[in-house]
Amino acid sequence: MLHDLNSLLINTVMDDLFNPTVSSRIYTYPNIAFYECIRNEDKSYPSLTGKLTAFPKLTVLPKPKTDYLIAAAISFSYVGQSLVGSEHKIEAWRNQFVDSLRLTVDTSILSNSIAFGKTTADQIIAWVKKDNYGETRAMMRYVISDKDGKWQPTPVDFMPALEPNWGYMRPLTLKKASQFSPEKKLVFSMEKNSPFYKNVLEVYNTVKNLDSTKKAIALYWDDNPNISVEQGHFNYFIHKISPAGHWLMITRQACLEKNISLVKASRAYTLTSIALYDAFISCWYEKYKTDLVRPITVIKRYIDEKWEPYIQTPPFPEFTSGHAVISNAAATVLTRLLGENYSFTDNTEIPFGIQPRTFASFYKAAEESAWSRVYAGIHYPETARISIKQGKQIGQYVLNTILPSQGTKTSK
Amino acid sequence: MSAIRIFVFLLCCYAYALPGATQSPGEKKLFTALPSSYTGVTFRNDIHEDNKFFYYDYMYLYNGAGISIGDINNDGLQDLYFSSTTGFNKLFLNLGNLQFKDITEQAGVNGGMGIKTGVNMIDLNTDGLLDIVVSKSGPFDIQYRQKIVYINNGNLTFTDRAAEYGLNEPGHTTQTYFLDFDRDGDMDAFFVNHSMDFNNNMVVNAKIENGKMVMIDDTARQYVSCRLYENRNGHFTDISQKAGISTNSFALSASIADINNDGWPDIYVANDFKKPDYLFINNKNGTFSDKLTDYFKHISQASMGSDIVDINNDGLEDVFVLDMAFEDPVRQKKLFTQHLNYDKFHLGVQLGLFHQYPHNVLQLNNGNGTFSEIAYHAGVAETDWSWTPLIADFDNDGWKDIYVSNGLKRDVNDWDYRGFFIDSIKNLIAKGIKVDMVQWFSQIPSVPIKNYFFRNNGSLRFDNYTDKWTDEPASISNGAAYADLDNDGDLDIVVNNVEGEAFVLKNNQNEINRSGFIRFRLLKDKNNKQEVYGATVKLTLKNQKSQFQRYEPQRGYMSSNEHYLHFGTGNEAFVEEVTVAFPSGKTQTLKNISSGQVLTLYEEDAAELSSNEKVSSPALFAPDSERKRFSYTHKENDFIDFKREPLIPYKCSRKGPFYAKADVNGDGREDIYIGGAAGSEGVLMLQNADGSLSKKNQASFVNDKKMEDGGAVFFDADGDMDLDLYVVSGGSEFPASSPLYQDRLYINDGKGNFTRSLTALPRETNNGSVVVAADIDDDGDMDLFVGGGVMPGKFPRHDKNIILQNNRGKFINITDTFAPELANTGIVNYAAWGDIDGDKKNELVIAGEWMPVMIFKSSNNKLNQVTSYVTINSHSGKTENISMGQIKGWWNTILLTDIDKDGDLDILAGNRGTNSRIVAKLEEPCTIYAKDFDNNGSYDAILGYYIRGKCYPMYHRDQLIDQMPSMRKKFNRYHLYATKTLDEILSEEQKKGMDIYTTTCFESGIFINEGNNHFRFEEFPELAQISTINDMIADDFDNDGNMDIIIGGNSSDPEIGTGSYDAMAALFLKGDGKGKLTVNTLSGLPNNGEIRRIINLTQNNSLILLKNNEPAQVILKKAN
Repeated sequence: MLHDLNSLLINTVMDDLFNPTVSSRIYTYPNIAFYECIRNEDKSYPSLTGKLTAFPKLTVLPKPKTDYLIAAAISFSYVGQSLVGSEHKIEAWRNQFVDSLRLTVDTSILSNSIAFGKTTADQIIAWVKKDNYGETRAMMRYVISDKDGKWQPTPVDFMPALEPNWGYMRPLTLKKASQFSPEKKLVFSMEKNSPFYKNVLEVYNTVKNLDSTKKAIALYWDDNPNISVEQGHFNYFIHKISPAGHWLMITRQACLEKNISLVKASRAYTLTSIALYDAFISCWYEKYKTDLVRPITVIKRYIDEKWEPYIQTPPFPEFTSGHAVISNAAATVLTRLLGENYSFTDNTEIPFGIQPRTFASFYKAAEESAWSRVYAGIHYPETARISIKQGKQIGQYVLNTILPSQGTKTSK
Repeated sequence: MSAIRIFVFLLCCYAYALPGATQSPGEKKLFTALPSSYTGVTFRNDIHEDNKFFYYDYMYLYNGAGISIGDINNDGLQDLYFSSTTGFNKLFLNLGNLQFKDITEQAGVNGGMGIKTGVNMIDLNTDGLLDIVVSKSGPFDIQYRQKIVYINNGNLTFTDRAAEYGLNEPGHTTQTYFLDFDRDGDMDAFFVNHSMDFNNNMVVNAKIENGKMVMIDDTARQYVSCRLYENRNGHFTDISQKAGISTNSFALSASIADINNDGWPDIYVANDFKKPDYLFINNKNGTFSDKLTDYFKHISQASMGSDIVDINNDGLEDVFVLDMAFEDPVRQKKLFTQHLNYDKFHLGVQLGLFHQYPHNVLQLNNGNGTFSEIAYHAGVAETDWSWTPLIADFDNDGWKDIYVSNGLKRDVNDWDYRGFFIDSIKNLIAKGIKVDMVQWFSQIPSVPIKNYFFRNNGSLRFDNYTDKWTDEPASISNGAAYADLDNDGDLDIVVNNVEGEAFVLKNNQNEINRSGFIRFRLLKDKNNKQEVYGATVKLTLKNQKSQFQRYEPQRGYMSSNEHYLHFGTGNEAFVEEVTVAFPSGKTQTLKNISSGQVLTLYEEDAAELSSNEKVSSPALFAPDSERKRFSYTHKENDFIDFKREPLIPYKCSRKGPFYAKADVNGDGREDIYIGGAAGSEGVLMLQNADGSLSKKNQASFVNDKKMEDGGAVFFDADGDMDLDLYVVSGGSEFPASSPLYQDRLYINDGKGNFTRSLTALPRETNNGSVVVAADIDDDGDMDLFVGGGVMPGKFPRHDKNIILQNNRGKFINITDTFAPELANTGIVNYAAWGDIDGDKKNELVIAGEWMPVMIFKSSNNKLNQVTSYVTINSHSGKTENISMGQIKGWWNTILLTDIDKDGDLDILAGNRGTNSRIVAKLEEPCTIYAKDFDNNGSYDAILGYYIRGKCYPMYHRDQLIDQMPSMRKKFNRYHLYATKTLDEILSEEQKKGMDIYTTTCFESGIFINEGNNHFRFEEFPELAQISTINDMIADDFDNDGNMDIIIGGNSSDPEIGTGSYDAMAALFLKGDGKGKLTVNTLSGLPNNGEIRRIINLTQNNSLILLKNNEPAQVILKKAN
């Protein structure tokens, strides 16, 4: 049920072509809604009130004889519907869900459950409205700097910078977007001995010497929701799952394989998606604050005009790496909730024609995700390192904020 | 043919009843599409695609093929040769009466294998018989791309002797052209070739070279570069390198003409995709140089077919190039080619890709080395995916009309298809699932579109006569050509269609109207009947009407026209004078030639012209080349309005430089203050005795350089008899209510030293625009009106207009009590005081954007708006009498002057002009709905304009979604959005409480004062409408006793979908003293830059053209 709902949400988001950051927003709120309903089945799972920024105390209590699963699904569907473009897809699901229940569920239980689910959803939707999403649509678009080392639009499409104001979104746990801004930065310099220049050369040579394994890894973690391909006047777009969606699918697979309870699974989705959302805010804040140029720009300008990265460079500044930060945030949460050395095979990319990969642990997968961006030629190695650290810090912070403390785990 | 024979022949035509023609001659349309059952022309260009080869493998597969028309057997009837992309070419012999026979087999001219493209006919071996040249392209091996030269054997058979001639070049060729580039008497060859790198055709990468950022260019030349082959005694040799022709682009056509009138042929090459077109100017020494940017201000983006021809009968040849712009509003939103990307556009400009806009361009030749692009004004900018322009006089009325062929086998740029549908297919393929590619591809919509007919209405405008003139069905058409196929004196048209039979369009002009014609053959001599390409003919008819044409069959796209020069002569029975000029310099003049005949003229009968008697009117102005008088460069600051408000139609932050003029140091000479943009200080220039101007540094100006100067005025603020300076702080780039909008008053010490007074003005934070001084309250001192500009971040709301009352040197804002009606203006751009109603008291006249011209009169201690009426010709042709308040424009400037010398002040009003995709009429206003629709703190101004009777939003779906996320819920696919009008994209709930702004008039003109608050609106002449007018000055510049006008204009403020207004920087309008103005394009005024203000320095005989972000230009008046 929960897994189906998340699949439906992910597919709808993909088809609506939401960008990676906005996708992370759409994934987290419905899962929060589901959790707030289903947790009533098990008193050991507390509400998120007081733990998430401005999260209201839910005022409507469930009536006796409420089926929490039904309520949770209804709640998820309403919140999800409010956030996606193709509302009809979610609405259609809900309608057929309710219709199927009419035959098997007692009328008053059904109506109680639907009512509880809807009012929970309404309260959450009211809370969501204040997360600054609307306001960030109205803020200044990105203005290109002509200083050396600052981000420039990249081929093929030279799309305008994506979500330059995402750092102004209201985080769910972080006190402010800059909270985990890395102290160590990567600073532009074309001096041959500088760390930056060495990083550029490393990217340059890495791509030039890719073996089939690294190529597979680069493609595996591409996760670009909208890749443009240009052929004559016929240019078209390939859609893939976004990074947040990818990690939710990993969450899904792990929950299913471990056959855990629904409440536990809901908590896994919820905390993971919260971590993904806050990680995006933290990462995007950093990207536009540092505004660092991408490898393709530097290499073509100064080193080798014919060099191409292995995958398309997405349209936003380089430092820090989205994949690295959010993957490691997610991995930190999943490790805590589902186990440290949980080895799994990730089937997420099969629909896109990419073979599954097996990982020894969530952290290993997250680490590979970070390095995949270097193999792909779109990030510097030092950025990958710094971003991995940033992601783990965020993941840990989310855990500390939401879970009752069981002794803090220090991240590596 | 003699007149008798023509008459008999025509009788015979009448005698034949054409099968299928059920209409009587009176009801006939101009063109009838004859069925192949009658004509025998069964040719169709079916582009074969299968699983091994289809569009996906070769992105130019749908470029179609051509048609070449010529008399291959010299029987007086012109024959048809079609090329076929993947099939076989066909040759149809003209049997007379528009009936043809397929003789391809026996002639041996089927074109062979490979992708056939352009076709041409020329007598290559000078034996008096037309030969056929076939070009090829495609991704196959060399042997499938070698050109074919079918030499005419004289017995309806041909032999391919391309190798012998050296013309079997295997480049990827769209068309082969011939020209005598070196003027040695034989025809050389020019191949229009294209690159095969379709993956990078719009990618703009940069590298650093010698410290400068340059575009990374493709260095490949083999098979892709255009090539020039020199003809040496019948053998052709590649001299491209030596000639300076080395290109890598996607060239789709060429037009050969003498652009710079030096007697040597130049070549215009139309390039698809990112590269700008080439204008290869003949250097007269065997080489060419690309001088495109010297002549043009902008060009089409995806340039396709082209032609160079005089479209307005002024003796100057104009340039028409086609693109892929959609007229149909729904197709516009489903099929637009590229997202509008401001940063990418400007990166391209920076890297030398010039200004390219996605629409057809009609470049009007100004006769002074510059061209003005007027396609939108002319009504020919959007004709769907267009290929061939045929520009000829189809109705024989003496004015050249236009036919445009269009269509694409499949709408491959359908956004729903390429944004969504194809993705699902790719995944199937990636998973290894076998997909029938052709079946998948066949799901892309295939939409035939009607080809366009435009009738020249004798001005610079064309009327869409598609439905009036033809019954041809919608089609997918590429190559096209015209010829008089039935020898009845009017031009028929043949069109090469894809997935459908070719059109043979019979011109019924002769039967409908019997308008006259005259046709020419221009040959070398009676022995050597070689055609002289590039020879020109000028006709002079009664009443000084004239026409001018150049003999050149090679026009359009992949095709060539008949080998005649055809003129329509309307009702004239004879032509007063015919002047032929051959490229060699020889000319011949004939007088009183009767129309209705075909004349063959020989170069051997022409004589050398003794001198070039060019009668040119003396120029009135000349640039001050010495540059000693005045040196000033305006520097605009970098603010990009669209980053703050992505939906607004134009920038509001670049209106400077403004100026004020007066004698500030008491030496009797006019001095000037020029305002600076944000970050640059205003500058005081004092005039010296010798007429030059020198800067006098002012520390107080430097202190305030953070502010952006708006309008300024010198006036006596403190009553001490010298002139102080008020400067409006505007610019609109700072946030609303920023202290940087505080206006400033600088007090003059009498000697031209200015110090800011920090107490004289009230505190205010309005984004002001202009200021004028007048004694508003009749108390003997000068008060001020300060106009409000746009409210920053809330376009198109306007900021406050203010009346400042001078209270012994301290200024009080009395607007609320004195002039509350000033709240009802739009964005104010100009204000002036003048006695409009003749009561010896001045009224305040205000003009601006999204507002009418408004007149305010002061009475009973209040400034009230005056209600005025205007007689105006509406677009439907009626004359209406309406209130002036209904005539809303984007007025930039007004000039109060008695233009008709009848004793009252008329109002000249400079507007945006008519050369833009955004249109407005009284009955169909350009409209903005504005509100914070999404409740997220941004005032969203959504603009729509009328297309075919409905008001559509200007934006593509993604642009709207970016600004208003709620739109994504409504329109998750492009086709859902494409059909919606401005009204339909918003819900009734959303529309509640919104502001509505309208514009009903874009024409500039004169409100002629007829007294009693009544005016008559006279539009300026057409050439004054083709760009935006920023400023106007009046003076008797030619000393004939009547006021003349100089207008300054152009602007790069519009968003890139609309494109810059760059057609007319400055123009002289000669007044006749009675209110009529006529244009003089040879007055000597320059035609470049955005002229924001013109300063008339009467004392020292010069004009200063203040340009935005450029050096100012000084022009000397010569007539005085």
